[in-house]
Amino acid sequence: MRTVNRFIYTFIFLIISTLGFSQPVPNVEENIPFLMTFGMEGETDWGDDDFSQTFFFQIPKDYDQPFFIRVFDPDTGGEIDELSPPSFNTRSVYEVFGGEGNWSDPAAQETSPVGNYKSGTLLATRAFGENPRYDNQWFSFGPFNPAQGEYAEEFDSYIFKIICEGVSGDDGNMYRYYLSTSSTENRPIEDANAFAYEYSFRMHNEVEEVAHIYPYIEDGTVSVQIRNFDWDWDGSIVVISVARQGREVEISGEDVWARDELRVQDEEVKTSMDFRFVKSKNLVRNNNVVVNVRNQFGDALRFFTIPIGGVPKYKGEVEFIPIE
Amino acid sequence: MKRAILAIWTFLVLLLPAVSQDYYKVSKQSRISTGLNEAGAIPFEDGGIVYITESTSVGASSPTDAQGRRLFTIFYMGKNGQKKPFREELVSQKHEGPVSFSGDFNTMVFCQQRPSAGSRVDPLGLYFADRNEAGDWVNERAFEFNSPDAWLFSPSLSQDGRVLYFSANFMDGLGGFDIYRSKLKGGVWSTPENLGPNVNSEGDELYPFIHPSGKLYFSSDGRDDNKAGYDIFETAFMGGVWFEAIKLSTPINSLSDDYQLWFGENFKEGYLTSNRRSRSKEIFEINTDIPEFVAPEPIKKTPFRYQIKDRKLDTVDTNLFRYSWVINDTLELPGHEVIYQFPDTGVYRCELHVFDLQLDTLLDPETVKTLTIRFKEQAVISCPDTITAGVPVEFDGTRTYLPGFDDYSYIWDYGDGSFGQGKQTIHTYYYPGRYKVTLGVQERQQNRRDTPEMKSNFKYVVVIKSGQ
Repeated sequence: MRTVNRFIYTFIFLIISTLGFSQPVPNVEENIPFLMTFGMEGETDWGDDDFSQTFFFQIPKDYDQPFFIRVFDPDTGGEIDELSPPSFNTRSVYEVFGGEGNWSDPAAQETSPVGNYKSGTLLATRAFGENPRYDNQWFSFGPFNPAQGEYAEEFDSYIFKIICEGVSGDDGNMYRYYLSTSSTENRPIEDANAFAYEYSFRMHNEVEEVAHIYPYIEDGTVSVQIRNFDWDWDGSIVVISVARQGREVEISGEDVWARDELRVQDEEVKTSMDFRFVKSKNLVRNNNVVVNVRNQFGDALRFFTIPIGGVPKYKGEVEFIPIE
Repeated sequence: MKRAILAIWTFLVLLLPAVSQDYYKVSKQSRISTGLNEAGAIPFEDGGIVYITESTSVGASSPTDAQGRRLFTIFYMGKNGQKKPFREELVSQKHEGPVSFSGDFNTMVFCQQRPSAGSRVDPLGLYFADRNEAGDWVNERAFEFNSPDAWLFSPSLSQDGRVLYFSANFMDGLGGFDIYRSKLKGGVWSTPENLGPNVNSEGDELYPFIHPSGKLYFSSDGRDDNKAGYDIFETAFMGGVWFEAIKLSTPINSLSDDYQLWFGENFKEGYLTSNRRSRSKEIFEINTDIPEFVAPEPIKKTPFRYQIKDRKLDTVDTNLFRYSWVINDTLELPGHEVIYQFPDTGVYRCELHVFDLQLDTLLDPETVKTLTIRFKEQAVISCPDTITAGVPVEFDGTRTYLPGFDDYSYIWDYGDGSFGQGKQTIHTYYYPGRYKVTLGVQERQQNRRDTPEMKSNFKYVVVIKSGQ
């Protein structure tokens, strides 16, 4: 029975990790309820350090059909978003960029909205305030032609960028994305993926829910600096990899950054790490956090929603040492 | 049952002196034998034999001395069987020999009767000679301690030529001829030292032979209540004392007189002087059918006790995880590194179980490896590593593991000049020291032309003094 279970799990894992068939952002495996962006008049101790979040979608070169970038609960109001009393007053602007430089511009690959981070060609934009029509509903940007993106040889894909910014107000906008072939329902694009250089998200409130994000360790990485913001000492962040069973990293308190550094092992290069977020029993509700990772040169590493190489699993090396 | 075991053990202990040398074959060296007395055979560097004889080169008897005894002469028999005086210039009208050489054969010491002022009978003394590059024996000189009042006889030089053993009837001896030792220091021989009562007796001790192993062999008629005339004994000098001499058993000794013994370095060949089966002293060859152990290897123990660890696990966080090792799905050993004594040979699947305390779940075991324990293919010697001198010890070869090998005979080399045969043997070490014990396991010979294969392994044992 145990063998059968193992087979089933392996099968499911293979389907998820190798086909890369779905592009919800956050992805199912990440188990993150929502992305998070606060209105820029909010306090950073609510969990958002810069009131802006950038995500990139990669569309395989051989996909030539129109597609849509769908946003779930794009407004700020209703039951999902986080109210800063007395009432919702936040306007969020979503902007979709394509064209040259939308990803390759160095400012686009930074973790803070500074410089030419809105590089590329603006393809679509829409502002949302409190709007019951879109509360707990999907809104679709598009259709877009894949060729409108920036071709990236590294991925053999076209790249599009979506930025969500809280341009006014002080409430927390909680939302999700979906890269879809349809404007009315979520239909994934095979082999597409999404990534970000900084992840701002809402944690689950339930203690038993464990969230993950998956930074990819690029070739040449020797060490990584892990930074997390406003963790509120709410549990732990554990790094797991093909070479690491589990190593806790420093966690931040209220409205501060925490830094920790890991020496990258050879085996970890060109694989994904698994940052596991486990809440403590002392329940902090509606905890919002920001995480980014930089290499030894200070370059931000990417978090892929579908981890490159699959979810990393530690595999040890058994050693038998005879004792005389 | 206990009584029976005790009785068997006691029997074996009592039996011991008689079981130790039956692997030797002693046969007369018929090419040397003339029917007259021959003695003191030792090998020369070219493979010939140097010995003393009463005969001349043509087979006639030698002249007699003043007492009517035939004169001994040092002779040489080449590998082709041709016999001649070893040194023509030594041939005299006096007794000569026997002789001994240093290990490099460049120094010889021999015995010769020479006139001495004030002495009615010419005494026997010891004389040295060196071999020059031309192969001639030169620089002949007398041993400083030759005496007109004593006979010095049957010398034996150590391998390095720096220690001389001989027999002499000095006035301060213990009786008859005793064995003495003198050491060469700064080109001068030290005053001969009597080897004492553990070697010498009221009777005669003759023909010392110092073996490269340090064992001293000699013949005595006073150490065994003179039950069988002259017999050959052995002793060794260790820790500043000479050990009580032990009589060798048959076939080295016989009911007749047994005199001089020479053993090769590996104790597998030698010469013996004895008058067994003859009225005269004859030279016998000692051989053994103990085969050569070809390149024996040290015995490797089969380890059963292992530390089991995950070598990649550099960070162990017991707040996050609880580790255990599961052996063959049946035994769980807590900890990320464990030490376990496997019960026997076999195949063991070892799996690191990691229980994630945060997730309250057992993670899929990804760290797995199979350990196969099997005995090393080798001849296995089971015996104590430390042995008390004088105490019989069992040597057991039954744990030998040679799959597919038709193990026919088990041959033991105890490293002290003794050999044994059989899967289980008993041996007694008499002298403290470190000995290399070798067990050779030989296959059955299929036909005459077949050279049976042998596998051999060795281990070292340490023999300590009783009460040490």
